[in-house]
Amino acid sequence: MKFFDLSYFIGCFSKLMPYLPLTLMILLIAMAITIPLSAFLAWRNLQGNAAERGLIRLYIQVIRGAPFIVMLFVVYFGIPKLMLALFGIDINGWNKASYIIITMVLFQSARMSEAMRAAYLAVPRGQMEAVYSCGMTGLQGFLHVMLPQTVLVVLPNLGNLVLSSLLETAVGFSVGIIDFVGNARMVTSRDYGLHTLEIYLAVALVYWALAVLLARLFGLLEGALARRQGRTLSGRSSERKGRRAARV
Amino acid sequence: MIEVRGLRKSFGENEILKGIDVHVDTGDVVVILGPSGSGKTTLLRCINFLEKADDGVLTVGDMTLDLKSVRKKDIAAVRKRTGYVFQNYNLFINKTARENVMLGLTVGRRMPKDQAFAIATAALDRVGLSDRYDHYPSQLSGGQQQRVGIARAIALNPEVILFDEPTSALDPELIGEVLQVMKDLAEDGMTMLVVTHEMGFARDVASHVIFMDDGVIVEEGTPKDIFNHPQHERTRQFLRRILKGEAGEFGGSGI
Repeated sequence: MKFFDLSYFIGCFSKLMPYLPLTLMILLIAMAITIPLSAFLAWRNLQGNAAERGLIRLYIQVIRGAPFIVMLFVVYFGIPKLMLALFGIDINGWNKASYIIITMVLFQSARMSEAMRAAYLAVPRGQMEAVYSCGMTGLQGFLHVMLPQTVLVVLPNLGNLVLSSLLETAVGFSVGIIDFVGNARMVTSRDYGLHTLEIYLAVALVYWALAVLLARLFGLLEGALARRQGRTLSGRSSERKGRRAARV
Repeated sequence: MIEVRGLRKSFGENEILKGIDVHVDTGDVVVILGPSGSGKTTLLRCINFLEKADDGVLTVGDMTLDLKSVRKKDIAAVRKRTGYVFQNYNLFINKTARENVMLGLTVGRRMPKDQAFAIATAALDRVGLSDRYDHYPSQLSGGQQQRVGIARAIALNPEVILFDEPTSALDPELIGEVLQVMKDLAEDGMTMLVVTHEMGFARDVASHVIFMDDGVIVEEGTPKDIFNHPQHERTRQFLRRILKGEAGEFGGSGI
């Protein structure tokens, strides 16, 4: 038996590609819900009353203390029972992908709302004082001054969280979702475990390529936003870059 | 033009302002002096509602407000009539110099862009920054940033500008350019209420000087009264200490 079958390995990619849309769809839908939800949670955590803040902080603490796969099982087995008991709705026919989307929204919104809150607090307090003294309202100041600066601060962390979400989709096989990993398991069992290394290495490479692409995307977004706000990414000010160039 | 009566403010148990009366007439330059912690900055912040005063009456033009119970509408109206220059400039980091000056006009007052553009350009010209319209705050020196801060205040055409230690965060060699701009403004008849440690500015530009210590006004009068004939021991002590420091360190900075 060969240690590594190269032609089999290369053949793996065409077997995996059909599952790309599923992974991207899970990620996209989950993030489309998570990002606005996190922004809402961060907002209420910063400006809500004591009850709202307490509730959100409890939520964050509980969620952050649970492993993703455990949460997925709780959601997968818990929500159908809950829906049946509370509303009499049978959701056993639901697409299994919805469970991982729900889990991901719960899991990442706690983390993301904290990243957003921290980014907002990183903007100097005096910015809002200047907003008020210039005769603008809190909302106007938020939209024109706070939000653009907050987004720039949060982007690196946001990118990290989206990336880790991509990788967490791989856990979906454990509730029977046939994605890259689920497919790899099926293929290996069909081949009597002969090419396990090849297929999982191919899966790893696909995730890696997606991760690189995603990181690059966030990098470009950050660069474009920074330029619009007169900053460069190395260091804070473009003045500093100018000085460095002058020294060279 | 602007008047404060019986202003009181505490932070917790600590009473910072113990009943302050200030009167500024149109065209006046009133300078507030005093040691750190005497409440000068808090006084200014209360006038612009950056802090909420506990008690007192504020009159701006024909508006008289009881500071215990102000409405949002009144706060907005007072801020519309007053400009504010911060110790650490507080320029909008994500905006160019000109955008900093325009924002209060286009967003705050819904002025058409081209009109705001013209006003902002003129305001920056007035503070000597005709070559820095499109620079971001991070690309400007402290003195230039503070001059943008002043341009931002005057562009809104306020009836009075409040200056909160405008030169305290600046390197000594940059203080002069900011003081010169302020002096020019005063000569143009701008009404100003200035908290500063710059004795030269107080002596040469102020029409009225207030000396504060420990939350009360100890003494006030013309610059001549305060600098040449201080009545109170605390005023004398303060002036001795500051003037000695200035002579020793900078050979008398300012103008």
